[in-house]
Amino acid sequence: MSQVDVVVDTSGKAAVGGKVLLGVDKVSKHFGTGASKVTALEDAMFDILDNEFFTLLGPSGCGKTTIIRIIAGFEAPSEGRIMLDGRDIGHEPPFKRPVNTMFQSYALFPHLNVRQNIAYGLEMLRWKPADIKRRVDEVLDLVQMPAFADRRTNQMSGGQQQRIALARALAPRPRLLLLDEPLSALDLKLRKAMQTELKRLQRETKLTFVMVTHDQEEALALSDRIAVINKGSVLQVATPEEIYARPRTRFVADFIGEANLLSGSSLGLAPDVTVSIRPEQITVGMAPAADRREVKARVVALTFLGADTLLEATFRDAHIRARVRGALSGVTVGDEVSLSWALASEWILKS
Amino acid sequence: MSNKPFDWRATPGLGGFSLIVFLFLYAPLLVIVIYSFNVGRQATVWEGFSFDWYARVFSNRDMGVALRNSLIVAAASMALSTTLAVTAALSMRRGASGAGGKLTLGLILLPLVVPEIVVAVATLVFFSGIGLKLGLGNLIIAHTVFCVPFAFLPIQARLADMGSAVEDAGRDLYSDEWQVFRRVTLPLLMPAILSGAMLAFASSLDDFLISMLLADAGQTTLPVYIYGMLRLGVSPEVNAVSTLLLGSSVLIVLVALRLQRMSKAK
Amino acid sequence: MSSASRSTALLRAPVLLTMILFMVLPMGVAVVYSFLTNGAYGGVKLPFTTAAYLKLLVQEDLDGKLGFSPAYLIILWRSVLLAGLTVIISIIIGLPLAWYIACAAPAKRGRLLLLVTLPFWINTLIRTYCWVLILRDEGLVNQSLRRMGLIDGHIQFLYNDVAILLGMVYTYLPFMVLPIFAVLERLNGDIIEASHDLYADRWTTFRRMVWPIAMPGTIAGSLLVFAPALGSFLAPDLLGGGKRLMIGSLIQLQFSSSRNWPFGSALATVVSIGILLALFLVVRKNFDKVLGR
Repeated sequence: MSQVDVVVDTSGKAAVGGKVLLGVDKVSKHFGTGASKVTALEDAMFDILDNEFFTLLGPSGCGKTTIIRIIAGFEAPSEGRIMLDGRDIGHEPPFKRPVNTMFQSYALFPHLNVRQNIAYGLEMLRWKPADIKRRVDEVLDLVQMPAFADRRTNQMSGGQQQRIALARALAPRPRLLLLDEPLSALDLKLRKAMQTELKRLQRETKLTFVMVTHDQEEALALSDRIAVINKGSVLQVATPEEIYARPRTRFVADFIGEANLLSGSSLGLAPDVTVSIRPEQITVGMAPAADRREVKARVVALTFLGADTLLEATFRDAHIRARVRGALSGVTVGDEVSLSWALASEWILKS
Repeated sequence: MSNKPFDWRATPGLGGFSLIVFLFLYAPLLVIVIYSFNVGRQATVWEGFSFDWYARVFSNRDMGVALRNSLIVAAASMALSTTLAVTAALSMRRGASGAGGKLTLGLILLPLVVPEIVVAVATLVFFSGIGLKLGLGNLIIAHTVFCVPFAFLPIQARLADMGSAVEDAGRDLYSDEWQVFRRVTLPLLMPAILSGAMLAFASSLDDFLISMLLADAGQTTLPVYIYGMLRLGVSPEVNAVSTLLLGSSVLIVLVALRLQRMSKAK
Repeated sequence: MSSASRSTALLRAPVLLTMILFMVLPMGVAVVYSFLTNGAYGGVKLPFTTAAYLKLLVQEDLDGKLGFSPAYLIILWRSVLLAGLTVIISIIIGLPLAWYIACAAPAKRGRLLLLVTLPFWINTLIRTYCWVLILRDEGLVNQSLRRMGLIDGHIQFLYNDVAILLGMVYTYLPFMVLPIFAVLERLNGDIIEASHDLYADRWTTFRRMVWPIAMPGTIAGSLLVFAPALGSFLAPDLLGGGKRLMIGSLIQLQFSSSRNWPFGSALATVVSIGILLALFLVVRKNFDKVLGR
């Protein structure tokens, strides 16, 4: 049904019996026909579990936004099903799905104040006025903006608007909360603060968050599991640790963190093999050992970054980057140095 | 649940409704056009295809005079109103700034909110009161006033889009404001100016009420002449000349809008 | 004065002068004329009097006695009513149409806008006349009905208020569509999606989102329709047969066959004041919304 080997192997949740909430079952999306046909998504297949922070990660245009729009109901899948509670909701209109979205543009209703914005979904669900009022206050507390209830939405900063948008999507307690690049419009400091906020909110509300982002650091920091997507294909679905240590394809290895991708032939291995080694796993000038691989490379650049030093060297036409703690003494540009790493840290990728 | 994909942009039934509305807007005009080619005298009983009524129109001397008057008035009001509109738009480049700005904008747009009959009456009594008897000149003055907003709007829109960057660059090249205007601003603005001018021309050509109230004998404009014909009864000649008038208005406006779109693309 | 503001003032002067001299001043003169006495051969003469305004309310009957006559007030009232109905019908037709155009793909949108705007540039006389052709006794509708065997003689479509209303809606519809479209075009589509996302169906979203957000455009459009509709001349004249008078045709009469310039000016002044009042009330209540343009 899903990529079982990945999910069960690496997802701690599944191992402890995490319940599947939503299943994306062989979903494809095409636009246009014939010669001008564009495939946004090809056979996407994965599960989203209950009470997890799930992230769709990939570069612009990879199809990640298409996936959540399909889950939300603003696009219909060309093929495949979206399974919720054993039912295919793929063709139901958005107002019939227990899924709420936090839009990238926030999309706060301009003619309503904050309270009315947050209450909107609850009114549509025919909650009693007293319950609505209570819930709105509750949710405003949750996002730490209790004083804003009667403000108009056009007088607030970006960060404030975003929290209200979040509150509005959280209020109806949806089965899934979709977040479309929620932090991309914020400056760095605010971004970091909001990242912590989002994680906290997910833990407190125990709702399933599905976030879309192109920022791999953000994905690694916040997610319980990540789906890496490129050019319409879902490449890998796993925990952050798993994705970082054991990327399934070149693209994943390259996209997540930094990676040195060395061809098998340059290391005396089979030519169709790629070896991935992370810069921080490389040591400079260590004595050779049986369980380590050593290469001699010529230093082309040394950059002192404060906490680390970045060393760039060339080796047999390949470019290697190594990251060492602190400053690096006794090495200058042009030197030949010995770079080595534990054989166990190598990760082999088939092309 | 229906299996049609949900698209909030596609409200079911709205397309059909809109089609009906457009038919409602255009079909009646088509009636005039079609029956202008009717052979028979009866304006709406179809008897065969013919250009007869058009021939009648072209040989109608009185109508020719009315047409000439219309064209003179339209050309003159176009020139005057467009000039005024250009100066006004230039003065409001940075938005309608200050109290004077809002006032000017309000005055320019005033003809759009005041009913034609009120404008016609006011102009009539004013000219009569001060004894202004310039013949077609009276009409030209009155037309200029209500043509200003139509000339103004496209020019103002274009100026707003343009921003000041190009002119600032121009100031580096030319030392004197007039040169900047002539060599930089004016060429860029020209399509919008032409567009505004054509819209002003079309408005003047189409005007009926003001022309009717102000016109003395010998100053009849084409729409007023047509109205006179209508008073005597419906006839295919009316259909023919209406079709011609209709056609020219449409042509002028299409060209004007095409000019506007061209200038926007820049 | 800085040179910048001097040149601004210089540039503004011609148009200001023209509009004040040839529009505002004449309207003032009309007000003055409304307080003068009717001249023998048209025109006006002294002394000043309120006779013109009194004429609205009071008439001399056959015995020379003055009594309250509602005749003119009825005409005024009917004009307001018909103009108001024109506004309402224009909203009912225009708002969905504006929404349809705003939702259309950008390429299609331009063409649709053109189609809506084009009739505006066609002579009002022609646009009113075509309905005469269609609705008159020997007109298109009656002929078709006769040919289909549904009627024998003819149905009287013209010369009543409905025909006038039809003509006015037909003429002024673009004035309603364009301002509403201008507002809706700027609407962020995400807002509509957010509404659906929060469990509102299409009708509810229209009621709670589209309608309120379009309101500034609807108000602007209402003013742009109400003002000319109130002073409309051709619709009551051609479609109402000149017997169903509205203010516009009544005023025109005073400057042609009835020859009562003060009365005509008084009527024009009353119309102006009415519209200015409506403008003032609306703008005051919705100042920032209307200017949101």
